[in-house]
This record gives sequence, structure tokens and C-alpha cells, in this order.
Amino acid sequence: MDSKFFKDLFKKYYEKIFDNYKIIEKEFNINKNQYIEINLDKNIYYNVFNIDNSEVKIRINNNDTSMIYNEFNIIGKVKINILINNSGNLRIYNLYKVNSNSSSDSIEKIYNKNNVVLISKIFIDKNSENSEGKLSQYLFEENGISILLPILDIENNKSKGFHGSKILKLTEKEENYLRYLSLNKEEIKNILMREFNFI
Amino acid sequence: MLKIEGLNVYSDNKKILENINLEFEYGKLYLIFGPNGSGKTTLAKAILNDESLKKEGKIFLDNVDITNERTENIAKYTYYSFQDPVEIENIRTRTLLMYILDNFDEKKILSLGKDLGLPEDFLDRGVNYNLSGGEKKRFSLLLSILLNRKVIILDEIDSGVDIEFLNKLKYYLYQFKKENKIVILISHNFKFVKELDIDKVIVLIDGKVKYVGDKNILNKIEEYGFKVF
Repeated sequence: MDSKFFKDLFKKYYEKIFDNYKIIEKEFNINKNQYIEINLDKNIYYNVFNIDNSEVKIRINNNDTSMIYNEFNIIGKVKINILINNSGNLRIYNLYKVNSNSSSDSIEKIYNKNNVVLISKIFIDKNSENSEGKLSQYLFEENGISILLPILDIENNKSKGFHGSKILKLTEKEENYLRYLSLNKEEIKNILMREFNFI
Repeated sequence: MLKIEGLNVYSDNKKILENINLEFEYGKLYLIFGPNGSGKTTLAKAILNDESLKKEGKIFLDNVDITNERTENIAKYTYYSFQDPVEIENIRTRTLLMYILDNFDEKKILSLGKDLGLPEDFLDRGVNYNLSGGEKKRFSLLLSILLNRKVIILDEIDSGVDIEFLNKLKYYLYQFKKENKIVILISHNFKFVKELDIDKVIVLIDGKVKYVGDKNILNKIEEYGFKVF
């Protein structure tokens, strides 16, 4: 997928507003542990991460109406930890392409206070043998609307893909139990936030 | 002193408790006894002003009116152990204890947990999560010890547990008394409660207090059932 295709694809589904946006393209070649922070504004971001046997931590901050595409080309044993901190309108597409004899363990943590659509796909093509892709998503929402769409696209029979999602939210019964232990609403929220950061 | 005056309690517009007048003194152990559905748990939850209940009457603690105080505030000096403790997968026990205890002493907590028969990794599990019924009761007792509240209400903490735990429970009930707390036990377990040094038995039937007095009444109830009232 190239950046033009990505823009056209998303234009079909999302606001006209993106027509006027610039496309900002970046390529990262990563072969040692790295932390990357991306602050979004009114643009379309197109990032390619070529990761070789490393651990990458990425923090994406958004307060605007933004769109971002991240493509991860995975070689060897790779860990990817993404924290999405959104208080605007965010469309995000993550594609994890796992090569032969490689494995990716990806964690996506979404802290959403507004609107987010997150489409994440693990893709292992038919020629990539003995590969494994794992995706775990954790959502913590404060008055937000979140749509998470995880996709596993595993074309090779000797490779595997896994996916799990968890929403950090309490039921009324759970909140009531905590009130009997002297915790008020604000404290309960802080505890959940602490647990979210712990993941 | 915990004092209840003319308390009526309603749940879903149905009267559950009627004209309850009771006094609980520090350093004493009270047993609330009664058949299923007599209002024992409702009475405990009314003391903590559970928001699902509608109340008339007054509740005072040390002459302070706590009738309409928020549950989380009453819980700062009153510990209520649930009959069926709730499982919370998303919050680790460690984090919960760090928030609710004045002093989080991991070594002490682990040692106490071990003594009470909790799994070694209980601090890193969700609160009550994947614990057996008996283990949840053990965790409730652990909380009652660590929280150090001046009023302790234990709701059927003695059901579904082994003899070893009952012996520990017995020990801590005496400890709480010694520490000059108000201890209220809700129980159905004749054999266990008869062994305890209970100061007063309160019998509740159909939402009304039918008896307040010494524990000899338990022998009568055991022999004749609740029809003695």
C-alpha cells in the first residue's frame, strides 16, 4: 500500500476534510530499542517502520482531526508497544507485516477522550513460514467513542496469529464494592488509570 | 457507640426492615441471626447507606448522624465484608491495597496472606479474581485486619470455609474485641457461633427485631427453630 492509495481508501469512508490535508511521509529503520513520539495535527501521516530484532515504544498524541497510517515490517523477534493518547478525532491504521521466521508481539494501548477509529491488521503472506504475530489491545475511555477493528490475515499454514482486546472499565457492581472500601468515583478512576499505565 | 433509631428500610418500594432500634457498643461482639430473607444483610447495608436502599429513621456513630453520609465516607470507619465478594479483573489487589491502606507494607501483607491461606500471588491477581469461595472469605478477613476500622461487619464470612479458617476467624474476632472495635457478625453457622464469646444476639425475623439478649437463645432456636418467637 502506498500513501496515495491509503489516502484514497480513507477518503471513501471519512470526512472531506482530509482532502485539504498534506501527506507527511516518514521511514524509520530500527535495529535497536527505540522510543518514538509522534504529535499529530491537521495532516495525514504515513509512516513505515522497518524493525529488525528490536523493541519499539511509540507514543502518538492527538488533539486534532488527524489520520495516521503505520506500516511495520517485522524481521526477527520484535516487540512493539504503542500508546495512543487521543482527545481529538483520530483515524489510525496499523499494519504489522511479519516476515519469515519472525515474530511480533504488539501491544496497543488506547487512552481515548474523544473519537478514535483504530484498524489494526497482522499480515503474514503465503511465503512467510514459521512466523507469529500477536496483537493485544487495551482501551481506557473517558467519555469517548472508540471503534477498534483487529484483523488477522494469515496466509501461510505454518504461521500463526493471535489477537486479544480488553476494555478497562468497571461494572456498577464492581464500583459499588470499591465504594464499600472507601473509594470515591475520582479515586476509582485514578486506580484504573494506574492499571492502564502498568500494562 | 453505633445507634440505630426507628429505622425502616425499603428496597424496590418493598419494606425490608421495620422500626429497628439497636445500640452497638465498642469492645463487644454482636451476632445477627435470623432465617434467610429476614433482612440481616439489608441492615448491614443500610448502616453503610447503600444507595439502592430507601431509608427512614436515624443512624448515629459516636453521636454523629451518619444516616445520609455517602457509603465511601462511612466506609472510612466501617468495614463491611460482602457475603459474595465481587471479582474485579481489571484492578490488581496490590493497587487496591496501595490506595485503601494508610501504610502499604508488602512484607506484612504477604505474611498475613500466607497465614490466612491466600495464594502466594494474590497481590498480583485481580481483586478476588479467580479466587475460590473460601479464598474470597480469607481475603475479606485480611481486609478487616488491615483496614483497622472501628466498626467491623462480617456477613456470613464463616460459610463455605474449612475448620482451619474458622479457628483463625475466631482468633481475630477476639482480637477485634480486644482492640475495642464494634464487631457485628451475621451468621447461620450454629456450631461456630455457639463457640464464640458473643455479647449480644440480635434475632431478626421478617424485617423486625424479635430478640436482643444473651446467646442462650441459640440453644432454643436450635431445638425449636425460629417458631419460638
